[in-house]
Amino acid sequence: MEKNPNSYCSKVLPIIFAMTFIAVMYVNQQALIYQMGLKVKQNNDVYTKLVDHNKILVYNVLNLRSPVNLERTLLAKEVELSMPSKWQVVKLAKKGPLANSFVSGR
Amino acid sequence: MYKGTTPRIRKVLYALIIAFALLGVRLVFVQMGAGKSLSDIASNQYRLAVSLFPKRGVIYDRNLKELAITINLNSIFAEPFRVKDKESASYKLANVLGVSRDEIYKKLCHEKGFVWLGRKVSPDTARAVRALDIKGIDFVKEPHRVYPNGIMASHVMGFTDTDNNGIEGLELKFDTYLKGAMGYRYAIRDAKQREVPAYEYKEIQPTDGDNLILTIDSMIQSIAERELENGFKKYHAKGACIIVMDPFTGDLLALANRPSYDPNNAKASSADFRRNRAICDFFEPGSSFKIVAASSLLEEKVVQPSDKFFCENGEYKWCGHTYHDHTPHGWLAFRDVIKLSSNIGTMKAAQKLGPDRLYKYIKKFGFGVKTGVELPGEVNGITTHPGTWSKLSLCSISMGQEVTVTALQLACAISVLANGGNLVKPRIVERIQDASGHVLQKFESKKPQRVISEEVAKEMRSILRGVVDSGTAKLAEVDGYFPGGKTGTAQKVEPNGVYSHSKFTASFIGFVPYDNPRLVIAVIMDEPRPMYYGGVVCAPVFKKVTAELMSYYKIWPKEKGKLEAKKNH
Repeated sequence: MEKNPNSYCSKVLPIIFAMTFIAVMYVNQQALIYQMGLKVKQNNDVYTKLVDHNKILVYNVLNLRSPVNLERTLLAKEVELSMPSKWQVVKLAKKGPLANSFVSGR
Repeated sequence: MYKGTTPRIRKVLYALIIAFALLGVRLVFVQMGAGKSLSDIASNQYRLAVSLFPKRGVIYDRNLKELAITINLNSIFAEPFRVKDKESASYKLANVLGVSRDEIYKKLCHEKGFVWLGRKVSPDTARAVRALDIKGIDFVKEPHRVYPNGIMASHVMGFTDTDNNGIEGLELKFDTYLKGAMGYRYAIRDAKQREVPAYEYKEIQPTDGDNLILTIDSMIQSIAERELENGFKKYHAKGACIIVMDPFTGDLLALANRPSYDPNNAKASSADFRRNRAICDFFEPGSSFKIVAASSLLEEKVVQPSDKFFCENGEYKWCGHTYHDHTPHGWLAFRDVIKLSSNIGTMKAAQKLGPDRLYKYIKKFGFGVKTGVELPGEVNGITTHPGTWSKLSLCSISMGQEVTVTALQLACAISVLANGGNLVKPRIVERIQDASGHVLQKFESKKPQRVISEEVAKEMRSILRGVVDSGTAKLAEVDGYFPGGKTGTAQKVEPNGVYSHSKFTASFIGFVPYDNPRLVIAVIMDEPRPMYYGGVVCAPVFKKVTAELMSYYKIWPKEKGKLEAKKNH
């Protein structure tokens, strides 16, 4: 009995289509993974860059706030500061009728 | 089979069968024999190991102010084969990087595939190089250690090298804790050697370094450094150091040296500038060592403060050697012998004590052995056994000659008097904690060792108060705070072994207030000029630091009358 070529094609073609579809889906999935990874990496890079920038800014603040730097700045501007004497210190009373006024440190 | 095929086709068929058979054999050979090595070569081509740098631990002061932190900076590298116009590139880069054009050109013509153009450059420089947009020039982030306070406490902190390994100071001593452990990310790279982000197949996270919390107070350190710098410059000294210490716990609140260096640019300074003189240099202390002889004499009840000694009007011959006082004195009470720093009076008193007992107290005061502070490079100082002493040694040692000490040992010795007679171990690191704040190691104060009784310590404080009040250290007086202390002026030994008449080591060790000491301060100056007395050179530094620290601690000045009334009572 001779085989019908049409019935042969009708069996093979769906398999070829299915395999092609799966292959395309796989490639698409890989491309999506790659794109997502790239996006994550880009976001991570931005985050790292901001953190690094923040650290440098913190360092600059610490540098400006350091006693050595403050003294240098004050000396350059000829501002003379010294620790206060007892009579120059006022402290706020925590409780009682004088709570809203300030009391001499003496 | 093959009926009807022409011989030519058959030949081709056979040839193909043979060719495939040979290929099959080759395939088996490749797969079985060289499969492993070829697979390794292939994976090396597409696999990539990315180093993940750990964060080096932060160093904090006692108030958790950052003294050393790590920031990430860009390092610039070139791949010479990718740089097309090397001459133009080297010209542009030289202008931005501040390096000679020839040097850069040489690097760009290198046969290597990778050359550094600048390590850890400033953000501005990195931005300027990026703006040049030269192909083949790229950037990589590297962690960089920075010290926001510059030269402040540089000898305590030390510094790190380009690869962030501790080189000196605490950075060296605690390097294993601070540096942490590297991490790695194993990924896949594309044909252009770039990491393919989605194909990471293994990551080992880096372990960040642990943090150090010191006993140093950055405010006190700053005050001490400023006043030491002023004294150092004023007296053109070769070197100087200052130590501020809590006499009860041994906590070092400040430790500074001059000359100094900026740890942010340690390479620019010489090794001499980087030496921590307070623990690495030993010297003959001179009269400040008399506190040891005086304390032991009182403790052993060999003399009383009121006992009289004839000071030979400033010149005394003993065993063929003539000893001098810097000011001639006649009869002096023992209290005044110390107050006026009479060498002759001290040596006469020491003769009553004898070498063995003096040596015992020298050891009890902690001389001749390391204090055990958590800093690298500490030396013992030299104290010889009485068995090796000459006839002159007892006299010489009692007044601070023939014995060498470090500034830290002197600070510990004066702490014995300040805290009521106990020798405390100094400490500069309070604790080590990990990045999440868990304490890994706590450096507890060790149990103090009793050296002298509380009564003798009190008596000695009263005698040393007299040194400041009306003795050799009047320039250390701070109105209303009543400090006590002892001056020292020691002749240095020349290379030929004789005492110099032009080179001196000046010192002042003191505590404040004398009746209830809060702080101990030791100031040492090496070869000050033209003045060289401890009471003239070091005492004013002590005074200025004390005045500021008392205000900082909100200890207000007392009126003199009240204190004297309390004393008499």
